[in-house]
Formats: sequence, structure tokens, C-alpha cells
Amino acid sequence: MLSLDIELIHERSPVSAVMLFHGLTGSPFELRKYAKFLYEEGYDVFCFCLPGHGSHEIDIYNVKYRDWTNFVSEKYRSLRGYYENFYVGGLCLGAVLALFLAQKFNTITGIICLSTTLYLDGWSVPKYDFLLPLGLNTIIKYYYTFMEREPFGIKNLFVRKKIARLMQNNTVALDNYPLSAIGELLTLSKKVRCSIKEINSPIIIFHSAEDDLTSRKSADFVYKNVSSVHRQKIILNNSYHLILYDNEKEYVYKKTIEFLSQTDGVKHFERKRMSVI
Amino acid sequence: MKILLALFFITGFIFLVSFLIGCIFLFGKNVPLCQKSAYAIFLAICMFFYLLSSIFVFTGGIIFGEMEYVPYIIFALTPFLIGNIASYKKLKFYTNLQILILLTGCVSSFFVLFTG
Repeated sequence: MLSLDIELIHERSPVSAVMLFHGLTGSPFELRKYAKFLYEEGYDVFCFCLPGHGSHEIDIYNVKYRDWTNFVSEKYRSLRGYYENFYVGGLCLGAVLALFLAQKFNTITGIICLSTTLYLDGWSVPKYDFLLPLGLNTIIKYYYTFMEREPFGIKNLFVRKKIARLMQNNTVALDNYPLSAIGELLTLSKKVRCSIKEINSPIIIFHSAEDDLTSRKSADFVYKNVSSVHRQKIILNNSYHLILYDNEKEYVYKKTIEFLSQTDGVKHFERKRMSVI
Repeated sequence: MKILLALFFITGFIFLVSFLIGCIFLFGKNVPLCQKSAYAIFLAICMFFYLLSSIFVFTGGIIFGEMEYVPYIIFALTPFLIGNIASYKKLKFYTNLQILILLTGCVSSFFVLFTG
């Protein structure tokens, strides 16, 4: 089966690399352009397809959050030793996994959080979400699936039509979120929230003020509670959930590179200072 | 207490029949996902009232000192127990188990209501 993983590696290995994780029911395809941009800026980039994704749809019903956390931990361990600076980041579920890694490993150089989903409280979440505790804890979780619907996480109308077509073909992302998978995401989010203070790596958080799936409460929570000295929170006012495709994507790209350069610079200065001492 | 038990029987019967209809005609068939999801929401609502009625029977048994109704709390707990141990691989098994428990609840409440 064709691999959906993205590995952009320079011939002469740079000092820094970025590992990115996609969102729930997505695939590395949704990070493709962002990954390519970072690669062109001189970083090796890795985007792996998470367990339960990129294969037959039935797998998404079987996957547990531990499958995701074990997978990302294993990938991190296998790559970390090759680079002086190693960043982790992700979109939606991917951002939560990046935070999980930062809690587990203190050797992460920096974290990039894109539309972090710690709460499912966006404006497009159905009004019957009060039934969620009932659905998540009974057999109904295997029968209900949340259908992707307008605006598909995109404010830009032209891009939205393109994404909607791709989703309907279920080629690069599913057009629905099984409740069982949502339950696993929420369980993971809860664990990450409980240990958020253990994070002290530099962090940049991007979030849309009008995110349709998860409100800025998630971004505010991360920003307020991490122990990182170097932290930035960027709220976007003209985008929805899929900020890497929406109206302000270039701004997200630009700010990411600034963050990476600054953090690389800080690490370089600290190394120099340590060598003098 | 009879009224509470009747309520439990009615909600349980509706939930049971709805679940059976869903399993036979919808789930596992070539029906659009959005319709399956909409039906799942309807089942969740039925389940909500069923659980509520079970709790009412249990509470009524405690308040009025009729201890034979206290075990009905099991019918409120079993959907959550099944939900937490069920897996997608054995979904059919756990669904059948849930239906069996619903049937047990309906039969037992019917028996108590009409035989004394």
C-alpha cells in the first residue's frame, strides 16, 4: 500500500528538524504544503500517518489514544539523536500529541501548536452535544459519526470547495469523525491538560478566533498553563479551523519560521555560553 | 411505584424496538452515514429516557421501602458497563448483549406490572 508519510530530508543533514502530526481522520497530506515550506527554509521535516488513519476506514474505530502516543514516542526516539534541534508540532489532534511529547521528553527544542483541540466547543459543534457523555460511554459511540459539514474548517470559499471535494472522495481525509475516535481524542486531551505544567520547551500557539471545531479556550489554556519561558500565542481573525489552508496561511508560515529561527538562535547562544563557561 | 415501573417498561420497549429496527434496517447496511448518525442520535435520546426511568424506579424503591425495585438500577448501569468494555471488533456481540439486557428489563417489568 502506498505510504502517506512525508519525509523531506536534505542531502547534507541540517542541524534542525521538525516532526509534524496531522489531525483526527486526516493524513500527512494536510501538512504537505507547510512541510514543504519548512523544508525549503532549511529544515528536515517528518510527517507520519497516525495509527487508525490512511488505511481502511474500519481502523479508525479500533484505534485507542495509546496507539497514537506510543507511535509518536517511538518516532521521536528514533529521530531525535540525528539533530541538534528537534521541533514537534501538529494540527488539531496533532497539536495535542505534540504537547504530550513535550510533557514526556524534555529534549524537545520547541513546540508548534496549530488549532489545538483540547475542547470540542467550536461554533459548528452540534447543539445536541449535551448527549456526548451518554454517547461516549455507551455502545452508541460505535454507531454515531459526526459528519463533516459546511464550512469544513475553511473560511476561504474557493479553498473550501476544493477541500470539500477531496473529503467527499475520502482520499486524503475522511468526511466524518466516528464518535469512538472523538472519545479517544477527548481522553488524550484530558490527560494532556492535567500535566500541562510539565511543558517548559519554547512554544508557539496558533489559533483562530472563529475556529468552528474548537474555540480559542484551548489556545488560551495552553498559553496560560505551560511552564515555558518562551511562549507566543497568535490569534488569527480571518480563518477557521484549518489554518494551514485558510486566508492567513502565509502569516502562519512566516511566524513559524520566525519562531524556529529565534529558538534555534537561543539554543545556539546557550550552547556557546555553556562552552565558554 | 406501578406508574414508575410502567414508565420504565414503556421507555425500555421503545428503546428496544428502536434498537432492533436500527440493527436490522440501518446499521451495517448501505445507508448514507448521515442517516445512520441521525438515527444514532434518536437512539441516544431513547436511551436517556430509559436510563432516567430506571433511576426513578430505583429511587422510588428506596423512598417507599419497596426493596424489590432496587435492583432495577442495574438497567441504568449496564449500558455504561457495556460501553466501556465493548470493542468495534466484537460490536455484534456487545450489541446483542445490550438488546438482551433491554429485553430482560422489559420482560421483568411487564411480569411485575401484570402479575402483581
